[in-house]
Amino acid sequence: MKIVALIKDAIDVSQLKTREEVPIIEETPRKMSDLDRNALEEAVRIKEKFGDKEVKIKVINVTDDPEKARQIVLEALAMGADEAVSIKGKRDHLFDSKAIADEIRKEEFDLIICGDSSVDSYSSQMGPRVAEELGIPVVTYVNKLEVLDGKIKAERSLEDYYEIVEVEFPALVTVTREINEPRFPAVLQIMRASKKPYSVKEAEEGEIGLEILDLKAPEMKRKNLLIKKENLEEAVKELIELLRREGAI
Amino acid sequence: MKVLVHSEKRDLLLEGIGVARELGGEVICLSWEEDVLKYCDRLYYPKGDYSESKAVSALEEIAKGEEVDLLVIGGTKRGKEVAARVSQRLEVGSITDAISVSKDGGDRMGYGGRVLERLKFKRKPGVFVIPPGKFEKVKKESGDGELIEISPKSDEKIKVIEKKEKERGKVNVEEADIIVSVGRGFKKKEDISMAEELAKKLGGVIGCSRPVAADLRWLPEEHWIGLSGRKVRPKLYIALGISGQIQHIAGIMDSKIIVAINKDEEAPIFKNCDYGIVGDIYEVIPLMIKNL
Repeated sequence: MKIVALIKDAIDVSQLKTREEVPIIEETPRKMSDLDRNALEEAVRIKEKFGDKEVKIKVINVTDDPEKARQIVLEALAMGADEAVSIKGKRDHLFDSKAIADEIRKEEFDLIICGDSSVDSYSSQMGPRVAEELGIPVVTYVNKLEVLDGKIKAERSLEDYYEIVEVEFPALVTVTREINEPRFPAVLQIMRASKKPYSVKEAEEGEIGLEILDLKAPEMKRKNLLIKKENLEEAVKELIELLRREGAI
Repeated sequence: MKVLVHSEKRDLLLEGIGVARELGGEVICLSWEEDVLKYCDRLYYPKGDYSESKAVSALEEIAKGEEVDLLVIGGTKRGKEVAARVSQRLEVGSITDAISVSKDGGDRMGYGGRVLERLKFKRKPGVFVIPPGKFEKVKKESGDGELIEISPKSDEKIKVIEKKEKERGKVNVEEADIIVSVGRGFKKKEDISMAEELAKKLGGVIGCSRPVAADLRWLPEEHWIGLSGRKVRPKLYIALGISGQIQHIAGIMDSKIIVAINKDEEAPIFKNCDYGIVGDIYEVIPLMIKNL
């Protein structure tokens, strides 16, 4: 069985750098998008269940900067993937999904897996777009996954209910954060992973769907007033007084 | 101009039609509910049950046949999937969780809700996915719309085995004026009753952070506030024992006043609040109840 895990080198939003309300994306560190880590973890668990010989995992990363993605891809290999490819894309859903699909089409595959959203963009587009591009079914928001003979059984977590579905391979699955607790490989394992096959490619020419006109990081206009008093009860009284004065309660 | 609107949820569909009317031009709908005809100029009404794949096929066909300029799709989880799939078939860009829309493009909050992205469509038609509750529902009935019955192609490879309803109360955090929200600072499920008592006293409802709903399952998911949960805009949001991860902040940033109680002075919630008290929720909550 061949599994493809899609891994995004997401901007680590918790460390977002800004200058005069302008975000400096290039200077902000990156990390493996949390839900893609869950997706890869699920792939590795399938591999652990069925055995190393039965299951091969290929990681595909599409990025605007393969150099910055390198450490993250190595981490994916250290988690248990067998090979990896970074494709230089454009951080555009239309362009990048086609680049991913082009790479996937080169070999036979059974299951493609990725996060339901990325932690930086949260657009929830990439999985369904890649599936459409390949003409295969997509099962979104999966929080339980079981591989059966030639097919999968999955539980989708939707707003009001869980939906349990079955679909034959090949298929694409997007996972939620609740599906598992992913592992974080040690630095030594990441270094060892550099021996695994890992290539970097350029995407073919293509159209983009959206143009970014500008980005702005508006300052949160909060008062940030910490109420400090002799004792907690005084602080609580002060808080209630402030809220009453503002008409909030 | 022609705008194609779709959602499998009635309220969100009416919000989508509201957006389309604001944009101007003809409003065309895809809906499994026949009586929304009165709000639109043309309703494509599919036979049979809803499925994501049918919605995708129908939208693709209508968008191409009618040569629509824009699509507005309701941003439920199903809706987001449908929007992404139809965008790929039409080879166009799509703006998820759009907060403002125009015929050329729109704005959204990206990067964990911290960055306002102004985006322009490079190809036609542009696709908007609108978040629930952000836009006004259409009120005016237009009256003489045309109903077109269709049978969308369904090459259903996915077999639905079972549907299990999620545990549900009657809370709608999206519409609440006051939210008392609980986080990991609560040591056990029973302790939430403290927060409930406070909420009752304030006339508010209970919300929670991701771990409380998703990992511990102490509260049903409808209480879950954050990027993956609900986005709220109350007049007063009280965060009790919530550290304030960026995904949670993104869900509360439209609140008018944010109060934070946390024993960790370094908790990120204090950088995003109006009033904060550094203290143990087990001491502060009873004091709040007593002094209100």
